[in-house]
Amino acid sequence: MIKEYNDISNHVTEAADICIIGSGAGGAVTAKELAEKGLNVIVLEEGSSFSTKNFNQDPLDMMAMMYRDAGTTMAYGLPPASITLGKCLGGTTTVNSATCFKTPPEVVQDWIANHDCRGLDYEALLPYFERVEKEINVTALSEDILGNVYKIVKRGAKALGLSAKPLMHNVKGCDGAGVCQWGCIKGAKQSMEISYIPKADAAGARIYANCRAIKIATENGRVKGVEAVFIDPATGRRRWRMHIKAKVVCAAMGALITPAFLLRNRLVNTSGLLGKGLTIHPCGRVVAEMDELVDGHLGVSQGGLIDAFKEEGIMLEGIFIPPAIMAMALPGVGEEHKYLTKHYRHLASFGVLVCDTTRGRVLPGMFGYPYLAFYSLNQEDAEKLHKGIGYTADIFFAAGAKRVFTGCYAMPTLNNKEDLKAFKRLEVKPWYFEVMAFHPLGTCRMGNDPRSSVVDLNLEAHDLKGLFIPDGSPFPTSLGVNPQVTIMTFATRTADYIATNIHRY
Amino acid sequence: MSYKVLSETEARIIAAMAGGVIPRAGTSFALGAADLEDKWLPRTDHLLSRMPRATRLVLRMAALVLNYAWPLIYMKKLTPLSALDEQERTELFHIIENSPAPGPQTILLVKVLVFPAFYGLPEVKEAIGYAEKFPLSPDYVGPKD
Repeated sequence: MIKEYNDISNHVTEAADICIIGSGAGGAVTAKELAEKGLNVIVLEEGSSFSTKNFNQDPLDMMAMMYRDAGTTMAYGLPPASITLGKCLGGTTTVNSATCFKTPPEVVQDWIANHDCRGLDYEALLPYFERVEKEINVTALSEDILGNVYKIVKRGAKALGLSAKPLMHNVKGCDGAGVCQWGCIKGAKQSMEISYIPKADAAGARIYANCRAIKIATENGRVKGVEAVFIDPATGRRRWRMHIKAKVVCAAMGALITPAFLLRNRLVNTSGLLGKGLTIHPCGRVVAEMDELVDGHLGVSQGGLIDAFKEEGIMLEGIFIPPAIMAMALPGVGEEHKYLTKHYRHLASFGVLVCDTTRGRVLPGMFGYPYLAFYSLNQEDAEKLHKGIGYTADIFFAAGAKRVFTGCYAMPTLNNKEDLKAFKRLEVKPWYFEVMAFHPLGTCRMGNDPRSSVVDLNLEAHDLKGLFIPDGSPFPTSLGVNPQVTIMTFATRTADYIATNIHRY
Repeated sequence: MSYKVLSETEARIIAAMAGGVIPRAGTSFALGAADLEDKWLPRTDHLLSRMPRATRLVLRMAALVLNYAWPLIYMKKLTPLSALDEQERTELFHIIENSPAPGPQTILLVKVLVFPAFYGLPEVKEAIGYAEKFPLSPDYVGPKD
């Protein structure tokens, strides 16, 4: 049963074993796993439920419809970083690029060795990875579907002795519509509202969309339930109240909203670390103008990767987007701008993802924002971004690019390899870059010691029995790769733990 | 024309900014922002209407301030940007884009407010030779709240 605002005509009182707040990679997985184990589950999602009936491939319409704050969410700092989030059933998985990675083993080893996560075992996570990858159909796509940008980058990389690899995607029957981030019009992307949520629904979970959690009720150091309100999606006004009695509450609103929500509720912060340690994978976007016809929009938006610079904390990942958004990544005004948009079909682009050492902070929101995030790129990460852009430009020039656009204000256009040499010699500052960021993590870190972590290794809050945080917040460091599979894997593991121990709550 | 959130003044300023970045005519494609104002401005207005009130307020205030600040700082003119002709506005944006930080960063405001609205129009997509790979789903009914 999925109910939206229009299906509700009065205040609602419910009781459940588990109330899950959020329906993204963490919440939807937890809901399905627990409902299939016979537990009584309720899911609350602030956004609406959308499908191919509503997807029209127009970035503006889709941002206005499915993105939190119409796509204007950001972290404040130098430079400010745009971090787009989904606000819909399925959360950000509905508007992501469908890229899948297992957690790199060395990241988990680092957590165990240096971040108080003794007891985690990578081998023990493997069956969970397999379960998740089967559910969301993680698959390799053909080169035709991966698109021409991938072929160009592969060619350039080969010329430099590097190798480009295809990315894995959670899709079924993908034809490369190239609009993953604006709602898959083919329904091919196995985002949560296509994969896990229907199964949770079939197993008896009650799912409420347009429902915003306001408060977690507690009693004697245990959770007691959740107070929520239904929001009219047309006006944003609160209307009906909802009261849920629950033995267990899962806060799975993502690493930006979960800590802000808990701070506002004055919960689980005896460590003083709630909301601290934000990592966001700062990204740059490098665009190349090619002589050849590229038609990058005729393949998946994120086709391939180059991981040769992983040791330096730099991953190069494909990204191609419609002209309405691509135009923002291009320099120039007037005729120069019009020339580039007219040559959209000759453009190729690739992203630079930095495994960041910068740490930001999340605070409770105000002025109508659910959270406030602060994050100022440090010099080390700015230099990584600079290097990554240089590597990508190298690859594009090796593939025959006429010009390369860097996204760096100090030198936005590279007309030839001499310019590239000069670019590499630049002494950069963090604010020289136009930064987009993805994958917020780390704001409710896990660990064994309650003095230095917010949740334990089962993702249960140290300070409050029955409160679990199965989203991206508990991961102590940046992953260096797209995190949806990691979040789903840990959520599956947590669901197993809750199901086994439900009698204790 | 009436808008959901933009005032007439704000709409005029945003339209003027857009005209400077995407002027009419030229060798690449003939359409300019001014040619299709009645089509893309309501889209910008819709996008703004879905933003939090505080974001909306900041963007609208920024447009009002930059309307005077940009010509004053970069052209030493007291004339507001909206009173400059299209060619002067393009020249102004050229100067801003080639100036040190934070000049180029401020142009992002125009890009955010104008590009998604303008480049999503069917006429513009046709003019730049862009077509989506697939038509809409057979069960498509339209965006919803």
